[in-house]
Parts: sequence; structure tokens; C-alpha cells
Amino acid sequence: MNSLKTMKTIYMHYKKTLRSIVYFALIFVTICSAEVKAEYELPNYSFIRANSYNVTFNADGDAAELYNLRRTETEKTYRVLSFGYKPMHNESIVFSESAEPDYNVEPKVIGKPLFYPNPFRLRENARLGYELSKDMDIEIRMYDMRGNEIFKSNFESGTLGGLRGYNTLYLTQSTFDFYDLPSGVYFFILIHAEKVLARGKFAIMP
Amino acid sequence: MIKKIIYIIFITVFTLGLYANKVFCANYYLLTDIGTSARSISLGSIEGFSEAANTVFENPAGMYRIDSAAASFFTTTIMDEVYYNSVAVCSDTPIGKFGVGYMEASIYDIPHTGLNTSDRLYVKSYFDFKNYLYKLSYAYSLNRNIHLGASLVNYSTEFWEIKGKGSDLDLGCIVDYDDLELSFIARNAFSGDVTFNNDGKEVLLARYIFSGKYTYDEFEIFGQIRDKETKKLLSIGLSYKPRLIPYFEINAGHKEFLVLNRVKKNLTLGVGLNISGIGFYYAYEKSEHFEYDNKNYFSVNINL
Repeated sequence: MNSLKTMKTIYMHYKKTLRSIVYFALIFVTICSAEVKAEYELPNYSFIRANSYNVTFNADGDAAELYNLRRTETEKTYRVLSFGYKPMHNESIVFSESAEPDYNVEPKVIGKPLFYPNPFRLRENARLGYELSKDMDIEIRMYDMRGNEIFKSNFESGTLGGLRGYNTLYLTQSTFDFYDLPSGVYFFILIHAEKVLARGKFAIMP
Repeated sequence: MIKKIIYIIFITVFTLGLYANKVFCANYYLLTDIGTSARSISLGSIEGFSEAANTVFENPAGMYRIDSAAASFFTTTIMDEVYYNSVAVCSDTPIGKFGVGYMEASIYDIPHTGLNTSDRLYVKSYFDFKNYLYKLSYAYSLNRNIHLGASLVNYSTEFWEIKGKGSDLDLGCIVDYDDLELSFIARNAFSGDVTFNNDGKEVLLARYIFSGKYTYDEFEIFGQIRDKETKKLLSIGLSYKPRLIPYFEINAGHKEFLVLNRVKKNLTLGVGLNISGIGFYYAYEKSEHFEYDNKNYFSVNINL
């Protein structure tokens, strides 16, 4: 009897505290397990990978695993329409795919690198699309019809241009220091480790 | 009287050309910038001193060197993709020297692309590109030392659904004082346009080329200054014809050229063999292309 009385006394004394603990635990479990509907605009550089794989993403200091990424109609960005929030205690902000590591994958360009539209007017911009077999450093060079180099740029592995999967780069007048290129055909090559992986050509209209 | 009129026309056109408006929009791609003979390229792209029919593409006044008839052929392939070919013929007539030249650049299998629903690019079809020009030239010698020439030029571009056409006039003058020869060229003297069927327009920017040649013993020394898009480009060249084998020559040159708005420099080399009016020439220059880092040019001249 005495012990029951003692427990009741303790309960009455710590009633508020215990209730708080239970409520807090319930809230914690709800947050951890529930699927949160939200909209989040990923930065431009991450969308290509996000389209294909689950990614880890740092949200408010805690890393979270994102999944169920869906593309919206906007051309340049991808929107996360729903995601699961799962604390991972990962302090670094990394975008790493959940797929197998690609150390043994041969570095190559899958298919043909292409410009769209082609032909195009330089002031109306165009995009260059190509698919890489793995993350790798890529150098792009462009040439005119006399074989003169008119553009050269490096894209580091893991950044847009050097990402595994499909890469989309935009070509504008600023690409050529705002020089008005004459109409004609231009050539480009994709280089990795001093080796030409792919080549292509595009035409500029007046 | 006729000579005076010709002088006045030339001086007027040259002067107007020098003060022509420099329009800041895309300049039409001039095929002849690649060079029109291996010999000229090997001398640092020095123009105006060709002794063959390809002078039609350089300085039409140079046709005064053609005795009766001549023909030239030139070919090169850049990056295994761009095929340059040219042919020129000249003939002497009682009313002066006439010449016709044709030059073209062709590129094949350029992809016409589309965008699919998953945001990937794909090839819809392929098209070809062709850029070509015709030159109809006339040269007249005012006297033993001064020679004038003019070329009517017709430019064309065709690719995909795009077609463009334009015309202009090249003027040339050569002053010949024994060992010293001077050449003046006003290319596209009227700064005309090439108009396209998609309402696009490109400018045939006037260019002025002043060059000189001095013959010293077995050597020919060349110098040139070219005006291109507000930049002055210099070239020098040296040709050596050994007295013992006069049908053989070794050429070398250094040239400046424009890529976008940057001036670049290059060394050129070449050899030539000229036997009984038939000349074979080869030129080499280093390319900055990652894969095709050598450029090779060939030309054949026939002088009757």
C-alpha cells in the first residue's frame, strides 16, 4: 500500500514532467516516421543527379535523405515535391548517390554529345547535352572552320559538366566574350585525361 | 585620258574604303582567309605576289605576270572535317587579262537536333554546310611598272534551310620597280552585305592589305600589314631559291592572325618545285587543335 502511495505521490509531483516527456517522444516519433509534404527548390547544380538518384542533403544543419524527387515543368530547376526526413548526423554537405561506387567504370561519353537547337542563333542561346559514365574531369574545347581554338573550359569531377549521368550546359554570347561569331560550323571535343572522349559540331545561323 | 580616269576611280574607291563605316555586327566568314595557295601560306600568308592563276583570289592586278594562260588548284582538309578546294584560271586577251576563280568549303553530316520528353537531346536528321565564292577578275597594266586589277566577287552560303548571298568588289594595284615590288589590295572595297533568307545579315568588312617583296640574290624577302577588325596584323616571309637548283624553293614565314578578338602568331614552312611552268607546292603550319595539331596545304600551278 505504501509503495503505491509513494508512486502516486511521485507521479503527482512529476506529473507535468512525465507528460512532457511522453508528448515529446510522440512528437519525435511522428516527425521521424511521417512523410512530410513540402516544396524545396534544389540549387541548379544538383538537379541532374537528383533526378536519377537519392541524395543526401543538409537541411537546417542536419543531413537528410531525400527521395521521391519529381521534376516540375520549370526548365532549369527541379523541385522536391515530397521527401522523407531522416536525420543522419552527417555534418558535411554532400550530394552522394546511393548507387554503387564508380571506381571501376570506364570513363566515357555515352552516345553523342549534341547541341540543341542545331542550327541556332548565338543570341538565342543553345544547350549542349552529353552523358558521362562516371564523375570525371572534363575539358571542352571548341574550334572554328580554320581549326582555331575559340573556347576552352574545364569542368571538375562532381560538378555540372563533369557529373555522372546527363549533363546540360548552356552556350551564350558570353561563352565567346560577347564576340559575334559569323554564321558557319563550329567543332567541339570533350577531353578527359588527355584523351578525346567525344567530338561533335554545331552550326550558327546569322 | 583613260589612264587619268582609271587613276581617279582607284584613288576614290581606296579613299572611300578607308573611311568606310566599321559596322559592329557579325562579319561574314571569308573563305580566302585560310589561304589560296600553299606557297602564299608557307610565306606567312603573304598575298599579292603569286605568279599563278590563284592571284585572282589575292590581288587581281597580279595577273599581269601571266603570259598567255594559267591554272591553279588548291586543296586542304582541316580537322578531317572541313574540305577546302579552289580552282582558278587566267588568260591574256588583247584587251587585258581575265581570270575566273571558284573556292568552296564543305562540311558534311551536321546533326539537326530535337529535345525529347525526358529533356534529352536526339538527332532528327543530318544536313551539310557549303560556303563558296566566285571571282571574275580583270587586270590592266597602265605602264611597265604599274598594274591595276579588279575582281567582282559573289559569296554564297548554304546549310539546313539557310541560304545567303552577297557581292562585293576587290581592287588591287601592283607597283613594280625591278627588285622591289609593292602590292595594295582593297578586299570587299564597298563593305557590302551577305543577306540570308531568314532575315539575317552579315557584313563583308573591307580589308586592306599592303605588302612588299624585295629580291636580293637568291632570296626573296616579304613583308605585309593587314587591316582586320580594327587590328593591324603583320606577316613576314622568306623564300630561298638556290642558284644550283633554280626549280626548287624553300619558304618560311611568320604571321599574325585574329581569333575572336585576340591576335595570335604562327610560324609557317613550305617547299616548292617548279618545272617547265608546272609548280607543286606544300605548306605546313602548326595548329592549336588538340587532336589535329598539324595543318598541311597543297597546291598545283600550271603556267602556259
